[in-house]
Amino acid sequence: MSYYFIAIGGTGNKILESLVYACAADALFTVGANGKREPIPVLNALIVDVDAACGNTTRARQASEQYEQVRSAFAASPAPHKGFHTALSVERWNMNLARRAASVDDMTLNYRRDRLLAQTLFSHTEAGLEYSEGFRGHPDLGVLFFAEMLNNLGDAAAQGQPDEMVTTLNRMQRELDAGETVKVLLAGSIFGGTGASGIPSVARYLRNCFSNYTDRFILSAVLMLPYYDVPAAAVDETLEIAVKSSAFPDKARTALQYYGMEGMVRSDEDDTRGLYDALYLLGLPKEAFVTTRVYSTGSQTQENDAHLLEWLAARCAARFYRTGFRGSEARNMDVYYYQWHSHDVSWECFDDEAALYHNAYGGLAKAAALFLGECYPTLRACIRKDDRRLARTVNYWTAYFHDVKHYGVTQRAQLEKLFDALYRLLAFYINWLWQVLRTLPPTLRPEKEIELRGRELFDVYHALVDQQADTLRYKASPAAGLDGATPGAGDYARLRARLDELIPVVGGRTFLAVLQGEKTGRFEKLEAQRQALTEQDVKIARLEAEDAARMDPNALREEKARREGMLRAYAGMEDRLALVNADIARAVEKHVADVPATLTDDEPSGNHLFNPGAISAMRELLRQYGADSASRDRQAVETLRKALWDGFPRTVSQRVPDRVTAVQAVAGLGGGNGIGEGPQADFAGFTAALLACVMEEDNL
Amino acid sequence: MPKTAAVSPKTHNRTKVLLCYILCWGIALLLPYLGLKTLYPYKLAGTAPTLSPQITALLPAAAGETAALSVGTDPAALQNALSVRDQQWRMVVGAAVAAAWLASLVWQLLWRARYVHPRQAARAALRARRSYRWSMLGIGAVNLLAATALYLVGISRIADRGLWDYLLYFGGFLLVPVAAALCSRLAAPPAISGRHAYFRRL
Repeated sequence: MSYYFIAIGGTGNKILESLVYACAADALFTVGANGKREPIPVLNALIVDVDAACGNTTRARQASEQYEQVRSAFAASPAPHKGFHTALSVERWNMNLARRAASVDDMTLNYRRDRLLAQTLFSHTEAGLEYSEGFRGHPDLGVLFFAEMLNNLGDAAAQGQPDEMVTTLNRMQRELDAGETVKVLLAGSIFGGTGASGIPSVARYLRNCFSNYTDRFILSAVLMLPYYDVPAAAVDETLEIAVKSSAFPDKARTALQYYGMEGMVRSDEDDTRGLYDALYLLGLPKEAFVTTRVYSTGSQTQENDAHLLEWLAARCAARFYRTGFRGSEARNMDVYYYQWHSHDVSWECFDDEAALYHNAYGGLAKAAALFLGECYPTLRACIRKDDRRLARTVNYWTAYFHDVKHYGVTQRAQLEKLFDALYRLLAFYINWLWQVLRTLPPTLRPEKEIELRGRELFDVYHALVDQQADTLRYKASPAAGLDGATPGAGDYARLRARLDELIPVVGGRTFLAVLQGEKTGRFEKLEAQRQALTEQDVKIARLEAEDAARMDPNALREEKARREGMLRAYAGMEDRLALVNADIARAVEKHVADVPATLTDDEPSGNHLFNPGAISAMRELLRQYGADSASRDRQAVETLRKALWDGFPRTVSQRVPDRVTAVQAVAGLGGGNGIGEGPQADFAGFTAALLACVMEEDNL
Repeated sequence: MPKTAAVSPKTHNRTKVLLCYILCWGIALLLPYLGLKTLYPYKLAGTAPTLSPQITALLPAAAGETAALSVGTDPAALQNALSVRDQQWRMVVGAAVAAAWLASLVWQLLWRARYVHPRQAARAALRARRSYRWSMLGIGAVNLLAATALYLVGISRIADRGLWDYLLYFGGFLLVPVAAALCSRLAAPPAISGRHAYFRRL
């Protein structure tokens, strides 16, 4: 059996990153005859993304490279170890963009009829968009591109040009010819550009390529439905294509309608028209969306935070790889939705894999805490600075690196490189965890302080606008009496004072967002009232047109009186909207957006997976380690290291703290022995002991 | 040399530590005891110095029993008096060694207790190494003090002191620091000890 993963677009690569950690945790496994979990030996991943510089793609590649360095050290050493059993081979499909047409305009440059067709189908900006930064959420452009790419694959292969996709296809072909089963999983979003266009194109191409091997070629896809918002674009949409969150649901709906077509998911083993053997759909309701930190249409800046759904997508991948789809298991061919059974995020949410995930992912976090908080500075001093005093005294150095004193420069450099790989892998993992916890869906976590204050600000401002409008109307015509109500000056002062208190707490930007939200809400209300007024006018006109004898005169009077009331309300709404607009103008003039917030949103949310404080401490420690020595705050480093040491048993959330404390873990580390000789063996021995010391006994 | 042992992290080695303590400190106490009990009658019988009355008053043997030494008429009484004096002297020597042993053991255990639950292992190991050296100096001083006191109280009054005298009376004070050093280096807390490390793991 061989396993393939094709990551398409930015979201596909985010899923690939979460798969890297799944490999480290041995979460990709099959179940052996004896019921034991057997980690899959090799996962071949192919990155399909036209945006070569996409931040998410780069991150996934770097994480997989570090993982492979650590894993290959394990593979070269006979030391038994927990995790890191799945080899991850990641290739990026270099589409040779430099030699291809860069846009629809380029593609149709020499073909008049094609150009006319393109002008009909695409706007000027769409046709001029260069592919090298992705399709900016336009799958119609992507479909065209992928059609050309895939149709020319045969030519590339015939000409002997190196092409990663061709190499992958050839490997699949060889394995299928050898009688092996090949499982291919595609992953990406269906509300963006590359994923939405690439997944169906590549899937159809693969199915056609291996149409003679339907008994052994198993194809599936993880389709991500909208699960986040992007901030509003600050670009001129007439000149540049902007990505809008508001378009995500429509795009997803269109794509799902396409996928819902007959023949998309195979009905049984003999179905030759069907495309996928299984489809996994993952998404969130609108109220559970989080907004990404930065607006980006592609390139390096497109480095969106990791999300819980990508972790779940990796779990779907694991499920696909261990599920049979042929013979007696053909009933598994279906469309799968992820069912979430609780209102929070905890290890129990991983159902029958809760213990595995708790031990493996939790163990990795604990290994990171011990490594970063305790071991890393010592190991670095022993290797780089050759600190012999430390090297003779510290137990976790002497137990595994006793021979290092006899090493030459090359071997020392090799050891240092391996430690750098472990450090970077753990840094990637901690950063990923931090992002997952930070972007937890609001419906699955307790409200953050800044969100609470933001909501209060919205309520206070709403009440304040009403109060101001009532006061203005009262001043304009006190005789009208506002239905007998007198606006309270005390209330106004209280609301204003509270508003002034809240703005610095949540920051000027949030206040501007509140103003915009209020404006939108008021405008929508005004429009609804305008519509109601029009309908009322029509109603009155109809009544007036009727025969006076047949009409009740009171009814017409009542309808007119009602219209008067509606007009008054409409005027009030107009006043309120004008007040909001004036406030927005004032806020912009006063540069309110520059007011910093005392509360920050940059912290992981409360959850039942990891201690947010520990994850933040590790992230901050990494930031400090990464800073140059002049700007490093040594006191902060010491405080963080001590906090990680003391909080070690509470790094992973559970009812009672872990029984293994940092002292016991280091004691275990010092009690291990290296196996084999050479830098790789030394490193593998240490890392295996590190993982063994922090993970529970009954894991993996 | 190829390393063949499997990776099996051991978080503690309590039994080995206990055995090490029993063995080291036991030997440090047992050898002087055996020396005084079995070697003394053969090699140094009758050589005990006359102790000052303030000391003999603290000892369980009656002061009157040693009076025969000054009278010196009855050989049996003289024999008995010499035997009582030897016994008293051996008790003084034993008490001095035991006191030094106990003080050293307490000191060493206090040192160990400081590093059972260290905060930050590498730094704690360096601190433990430094404080181990200071504690060995302290334990050495305690034993030197006890040996000096014993010398002043009695050994200096022994005429024609030979090798056996020094070996038997000072041997215990040499064994106690050795026991302390061995226990510190071989039975240190697991968080600061390990294979090939300054504090070895048994």
